[in-house]
Amino acid sequence: MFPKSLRFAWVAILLILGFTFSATPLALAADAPFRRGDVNDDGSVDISDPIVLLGYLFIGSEEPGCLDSADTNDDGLVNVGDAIAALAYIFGDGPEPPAPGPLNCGLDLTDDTLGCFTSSCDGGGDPLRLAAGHLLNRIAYGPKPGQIDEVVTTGIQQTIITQLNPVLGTDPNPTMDILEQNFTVAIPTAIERFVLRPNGRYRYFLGTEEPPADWTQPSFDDSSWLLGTSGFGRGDRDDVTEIVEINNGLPSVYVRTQFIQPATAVSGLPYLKMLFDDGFVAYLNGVEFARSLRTNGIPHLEGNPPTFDQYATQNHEAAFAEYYPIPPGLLQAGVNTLAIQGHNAVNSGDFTLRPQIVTMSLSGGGRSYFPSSGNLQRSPFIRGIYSEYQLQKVLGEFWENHFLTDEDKLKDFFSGIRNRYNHRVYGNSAGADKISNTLEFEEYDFFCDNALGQFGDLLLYSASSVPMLVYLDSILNNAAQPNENYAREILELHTLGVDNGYTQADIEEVARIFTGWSVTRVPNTMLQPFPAVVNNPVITDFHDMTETAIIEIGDDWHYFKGTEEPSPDPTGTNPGAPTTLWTQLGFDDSTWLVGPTGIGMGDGDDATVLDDMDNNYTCFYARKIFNIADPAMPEYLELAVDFDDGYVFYLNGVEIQRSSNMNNAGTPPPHTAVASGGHEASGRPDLIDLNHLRPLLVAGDNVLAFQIHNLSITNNDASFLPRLTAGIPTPRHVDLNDRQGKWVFRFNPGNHDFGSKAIFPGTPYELNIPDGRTGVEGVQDAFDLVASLEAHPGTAQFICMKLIQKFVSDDISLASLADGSAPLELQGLLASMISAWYSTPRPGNIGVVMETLLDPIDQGNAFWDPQFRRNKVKTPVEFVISTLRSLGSPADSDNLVGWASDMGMEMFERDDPDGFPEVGNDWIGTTTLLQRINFARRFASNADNDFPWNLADIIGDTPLGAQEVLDIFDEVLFQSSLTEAERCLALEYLESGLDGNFLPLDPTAADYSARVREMVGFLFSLPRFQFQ
Amino acid sequence: MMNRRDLLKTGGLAALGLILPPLSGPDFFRRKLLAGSAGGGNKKMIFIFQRGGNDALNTVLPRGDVDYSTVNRPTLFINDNQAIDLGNGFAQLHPAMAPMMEVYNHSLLNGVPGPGNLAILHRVGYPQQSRSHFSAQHFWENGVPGDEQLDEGMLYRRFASTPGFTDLPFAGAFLDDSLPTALRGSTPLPAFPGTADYSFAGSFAEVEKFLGLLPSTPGGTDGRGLYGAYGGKPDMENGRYRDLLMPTGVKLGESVSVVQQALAQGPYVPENGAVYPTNTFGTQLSEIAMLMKRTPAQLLGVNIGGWDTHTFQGGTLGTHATILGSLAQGIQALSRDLQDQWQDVVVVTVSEFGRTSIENGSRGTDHGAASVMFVAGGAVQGGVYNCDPTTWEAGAMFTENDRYLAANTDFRVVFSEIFQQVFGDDPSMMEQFMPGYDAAAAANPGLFTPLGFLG
Repeated sequence: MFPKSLRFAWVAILLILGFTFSATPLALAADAPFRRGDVNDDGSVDISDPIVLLGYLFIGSEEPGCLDSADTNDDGLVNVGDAIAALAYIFGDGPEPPAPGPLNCGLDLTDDTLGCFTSSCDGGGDPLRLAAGHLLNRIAYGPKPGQIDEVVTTGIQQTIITQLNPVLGTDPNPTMDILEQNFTVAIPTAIERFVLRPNGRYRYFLGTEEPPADWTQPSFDDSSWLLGTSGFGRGDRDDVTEIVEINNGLPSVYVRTQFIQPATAVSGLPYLKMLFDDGFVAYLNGVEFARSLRTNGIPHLEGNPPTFDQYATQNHEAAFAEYYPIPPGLLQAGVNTLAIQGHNAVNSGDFTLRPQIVTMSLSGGGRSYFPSSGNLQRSPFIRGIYSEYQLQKVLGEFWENHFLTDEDKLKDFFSGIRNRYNHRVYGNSAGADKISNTLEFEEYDFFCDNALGQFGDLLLYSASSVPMLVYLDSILNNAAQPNENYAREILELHTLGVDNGYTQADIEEVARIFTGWSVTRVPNTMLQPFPAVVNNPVITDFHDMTETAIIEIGDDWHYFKGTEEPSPDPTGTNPGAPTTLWTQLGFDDSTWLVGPTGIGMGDGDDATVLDDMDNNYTCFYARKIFNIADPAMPEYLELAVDFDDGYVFYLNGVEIQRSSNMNNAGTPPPHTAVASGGHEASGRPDLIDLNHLRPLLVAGDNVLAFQIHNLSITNNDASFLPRLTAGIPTPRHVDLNDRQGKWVFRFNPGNHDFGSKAIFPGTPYELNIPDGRTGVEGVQDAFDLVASLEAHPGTAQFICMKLIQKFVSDDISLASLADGSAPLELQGLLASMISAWYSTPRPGNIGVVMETLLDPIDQGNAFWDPQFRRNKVKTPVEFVISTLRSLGSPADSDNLVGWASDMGMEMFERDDPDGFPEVGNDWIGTTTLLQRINFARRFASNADNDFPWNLADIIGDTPLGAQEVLDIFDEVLFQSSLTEAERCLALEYLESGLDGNFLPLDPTAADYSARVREMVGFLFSLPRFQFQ
Repeated sequence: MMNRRDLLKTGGLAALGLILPPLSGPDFFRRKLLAGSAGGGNKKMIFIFQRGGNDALNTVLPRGDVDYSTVNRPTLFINDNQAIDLGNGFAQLHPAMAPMMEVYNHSLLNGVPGPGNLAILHRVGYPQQSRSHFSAQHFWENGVPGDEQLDEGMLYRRFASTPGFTDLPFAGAFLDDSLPTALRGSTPLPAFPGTADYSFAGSFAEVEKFLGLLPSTPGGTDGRGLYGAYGGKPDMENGRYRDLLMPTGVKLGESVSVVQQALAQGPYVPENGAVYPTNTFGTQLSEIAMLMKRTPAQLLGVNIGGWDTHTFQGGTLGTHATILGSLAQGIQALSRDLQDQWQDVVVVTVSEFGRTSIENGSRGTDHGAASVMFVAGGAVQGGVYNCDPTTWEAGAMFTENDRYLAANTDFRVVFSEIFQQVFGDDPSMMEQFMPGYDAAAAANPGLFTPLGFLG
């Protein structure tokens, strides 16, 4: 403001020169509400006002705090004309002064250079602080304590410029990264090779009593134990060998197996890779080397060894395998013995043991995993509360919502994936959840990092992100049968806006562009960052290994109908008893029948039909000799057998495995035995890993032998469908449920429509994509489309319009632009933003567009127009974050997610692709208001330990009266803009008891802070706090 | 039996003079009266929105149309002997909707022969149907196809025009997080996903203090607490959304009180063997029935989602069949549960569009045009409309853009019939409820021919 002495000089000179004085003291027309004509700010326009005005104009009295109110005739000048107009009005000869006033308060509706700095009008306050508050309400999730001062000190212009230029990866506030790292797990990138595959044969023992003390030793005779295929367990449908006794409270299960480590060891370090639920201790060659830990680092089990009757002291889900190093020297060349005792948690119906042994060669780098969807959903709150780059996070949330994907659809997709034997890969839904959470998080993280970058990058990233490819069905879109779901939404929601310059025919053409867009999985060593992942896409699908069938379904087997024993005991005490002689390599099966598999009856799934089996015999026997040159090779040898109803399998005369419904059928089972439960040949075979049975294999001929038993003699359905394969791992080998791999974009040329395409034909923006592209070139169709869309005026209009909706005012929409009803200021802002959109070499630089919107240098555009302040209803996420920020409370709780969800906004879980609404109408409702109020009052009263705040941090330790307390919160929450009416309500609330009677606030009383907190909850509940 | 303490725990009940004497005379009368009936009769509507676009052709099958075939619908097609015959030799109902047949065919419900109280209105839509979910839902709800901006509901305008409706503390409600456009207007109606959580935290006395008092005059400054803030002087003159937010706050306090009072009458037990679906939709319908019986509500509504069946829609079984079953079971349960007031009730279902007549490559269907409505209630003349050999012309499944089933009846004339025949509204009011009605009717006389499903 001008020094007073200088102004005196001006007045004197002007008076001398006979000029009419016009006061234009500052370029900045600061605005507070005022009453026109009420120069002395006493609440009414009366004779005292022209007297004060004349005194200011002509005798050097103090300048009024609000020159706008002195401008009685609203001509933009303060001069004697105003005094004349006031006098005319007061004495009844002249018109009422233009609004606002004379009784109501309001903002100046006329553009002029006058300002209004102080006024007793409601909603007054320091204009600079109000402007800072407005800025932080829009480009941040509201001000934190002290932040208004920071902006005032730094300057609004510099604050905006800092926010427009975040430094990637280095948020000035480390808390955000620390909190996020707390719920991520860093996994080293590695190349993994199996020593012991997941589906091996084990002997197992139910922990109803203590096993013999030497059960972990290589020499232990486990032949009396049960046989089963890993994994062992119950619940979640992720186990191969079901252990039903878990349901009856069985505390433990003991498993052992032996395997061969080749003398020429595979490179890398050995690990036990363990999928388990809930706790375990693992022994190799009799030596304990791994024991599971609770989340606090204390083992699940105690004692050496733990007794059979212990329960694991904490639940643990078998979601992803965990790695336990095998100490040097423990893994020997030759035969090794792995023994594991697994223990369930008490009252848990869910148990899993699925060990593997792998070698890993670290290849550097690392990736993060999110353990739960709750933690994914916490991220926007953590970032909103802590990040110093607030604008980036506000925009990150904006893009996440703009390119919305629903995590639930992703989870459904992953949990439905099956391997080549029709087993669910992510049998435990937690595995699918974690993959989904991670992919969703990475997408959100990209949108934050690139929030101020090129729109076209955001669009192409979204198109090729796994969540979007799944969510809007691109993975189902192929040349023969296009799916229009994504094509419609990329035009309607992501770029042009509904009915804004495209036709149904355009949608159909765009759908053809995205044919062949799909997903696949690659090992971490093959990951590429964006945009390489789409510029140079993976084009083939994931293959675990190249597979060669040694024995295929349909090959001839020798078989023997079980009307009698195939090899009755010729000697001994029990002549005629069953033996396993028929399973041995040297057995003469030349008298047996020969026929292709499947062998059986019923269901029409058998090539060799035993049409005399029904009511005649309950079992049949089958043998097949196969030849391998070297028992150490090939690397993977796997037998898959689909069956109905039960089987016992022998390799070279040794029983290897039987279906669990044959467990009580005798050893070996007699030909009259029946399976104890039914099993259908369903295309989901049992897998038997032969890799660790190599000691049994010989160079040359080997024999597989099966006996297949029916459920009963009258059961009319039996089947036997065996398949033996040898596999060679591909360079992309990675287990589907392994963390050493990731789902990424895949362009499948085989499903792409390579014909020519015409989008927007007949318009100036016509895009013609030629035919003749081949192979991976087909992906370029989409690059052409992105380039076309980012340069399309419809996109510029729609995206800039949405940014205005987000940052300035809801009173703009495609419809209100079309019919011209959008406020002119907003139309002007839109025009300048569209110019900015095209001002860069590549159109659509969001940073440049946002700089135009925020107008940091002039601060004179619509963003700064007082009529657009506190005119936007906070979304639930904005409400929750701004509430916590306002009092400097930390965010460390899943509860925030739940509260915002109760208010109607659960990020990452919205079904509809249109995103959460930005328009206030959609956020005004009884339930959302109720939940806001319930949350804010709970927060204010410190009822939640997860997000506490300290009253003394806000009001200090000095005892204060009610007015002083209210003044402080008025400033902290509203930059001292509460109206008298609001202050009265708050004070009455603060100074009344539950009986409604007056109860003065006593700073020395025990309930002082509780009462203040209650009033803060009331302030949060006011209409004013619902706005930003 | 609830004792006084139980009542107190539910919170906010002192607002109801029925239960507790006023704390202080003059203050008490400054609250709005919370009970009573609106003028304009005792007819009530239950509004169900099937969000996502229901595949009408997989709901009511035009068996008599040769285009309804395995060629056009390889995995969706339902065999003749698996579907439910609707009695006109042409239309069949999806088998999953069997529970609804007792409403369709009265004798299944009460032994009285003859057509029941369920009208099945096929091929309902409007000219130039939008295939955007968001626009299409908006048009069905604001009653003005083509007007993207008008965010005021057709049902709101109809009900708000009856005397006293907007003054009632609980004239109606929607069972969801937020109010859909259909029920939006200048005076807010409450919306909540469930009744149990619709309460303020805190003890009775704390809630009483927090709610406070309305000012003696609207916009006055002598109120207290929440009512004082939301019923008083706005924080900004002419501030954006204050005209909606402020009355919403007042309505919140009032409606919570009414709902908690209804709950305080004890656990709700559906009557006449009504069994609601065991999902959120079913729970919400059951709460609607409870509120129909225990509050003066005249308009209650709910959403049922999952109709956007782009992929793996299923045939007699599957995702679409499952939600059709939920809808049918819900309508059956309502008709049983509300028998005592069935003559006064009309249940209406809508969906924003039907779907493509040809199945897509993902075993689903994409966005289409006309859909099917169900209207049930004591006044309804049961039967199937717009799906019979007389009106269903050859090629009907491809009459719009060679892809879609076109509308034969505009949804506005359906609502016009309901408003006039059930609620007794004057025909001249249709233009007010659905701006542009008269011009649209004049331009499309065929689409605006009443179906006569209300006798």
